[in-house]
Amino acid sequence: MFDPKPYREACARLTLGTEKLEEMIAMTENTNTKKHLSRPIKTVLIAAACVAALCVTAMAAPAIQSFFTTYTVTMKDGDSPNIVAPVIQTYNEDGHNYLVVDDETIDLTDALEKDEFFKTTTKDGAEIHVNKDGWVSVSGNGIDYTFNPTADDKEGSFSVDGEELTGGEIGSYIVTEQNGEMEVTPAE
Amino acid sequence: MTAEMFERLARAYGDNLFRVAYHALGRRADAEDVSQTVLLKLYQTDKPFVSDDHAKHWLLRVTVNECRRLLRAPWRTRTLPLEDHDGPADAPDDHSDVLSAVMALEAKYRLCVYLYYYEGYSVKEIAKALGTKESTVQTRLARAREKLRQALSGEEEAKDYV
Repeated sequence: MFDPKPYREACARLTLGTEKLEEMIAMTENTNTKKHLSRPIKTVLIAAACVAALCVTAMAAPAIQSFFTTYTVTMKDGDSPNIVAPVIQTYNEDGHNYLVVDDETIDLTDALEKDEFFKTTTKDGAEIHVNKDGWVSVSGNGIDYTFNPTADDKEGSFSVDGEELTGGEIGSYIVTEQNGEMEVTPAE
Repeated sequence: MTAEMFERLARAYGDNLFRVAYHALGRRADAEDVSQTVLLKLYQTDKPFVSDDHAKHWLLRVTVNECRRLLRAPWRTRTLPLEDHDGPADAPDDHSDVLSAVMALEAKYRLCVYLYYYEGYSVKEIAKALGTKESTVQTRLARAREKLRQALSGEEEAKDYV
């Protein structure tokens, strides 16, 4: 009969050793190979009353590529209401698609396979929709975001209070990616 | 990853990932090598961990993958995948009978036993960490228990024999 208790006690004694661990920590920190990821997002819009931060990854159903992108969108509108956009994050790992919102990690894989979309509401009342093709939309609290960085035309749109913003620096936007950086530019 | 966060996570989970590597590879030296590699990956990652549990799960998956990579390395004399690796394990330092019996199992059984009985992961969590099916994990645990029962019963009988 296998009694796990002596096994657990023996495992607890199986350690790297304090000296070895500290040596590994020191060696790791002394390496010069620390990778610097290019930080996303150049915004071409000037920030004013509101700043929204949104993190998106490529979401595709089955053959998924692990890819993480962050971008920041800023909008300028002197008359815009106080816009509150939730911070969300999506990423893919080991064939599963995850959504992180309000510090909670949600596995979307089953929902995307079964229903082809996933919906949730943040604690501030914004609705988040994610569909199997990678489109992410966030709506509520006076703002709507819809975009898909994996789409061929990589187009996103932004509206405030149900009205699509047009003209000047506010309007339809194109989200593009180059060298790991996302760029949001006004659509022509 | 800031230096402070790295050091905190390394001290919190360094022994855990060493134990995983030791159970996967059966050799202390190899387990230390993998531990160093995983700590380097932790230091270099910009992955935002939403909790310590998230970090721990990430470290577990990276450690398992590094063990698999080590076993596949062309310079190794043994190039079996983790599931088929049955190389002899080092004798555990404290010569605990039960730990010795576990380390005498094939690697695929050792890892499931460790994750289930020591780390307390569920079958589902183990399946996810190892990238395999839940039914496979259950089968491995059942077979491991049977093999351990036989090995430890044999030891008890030997002790009683005059």
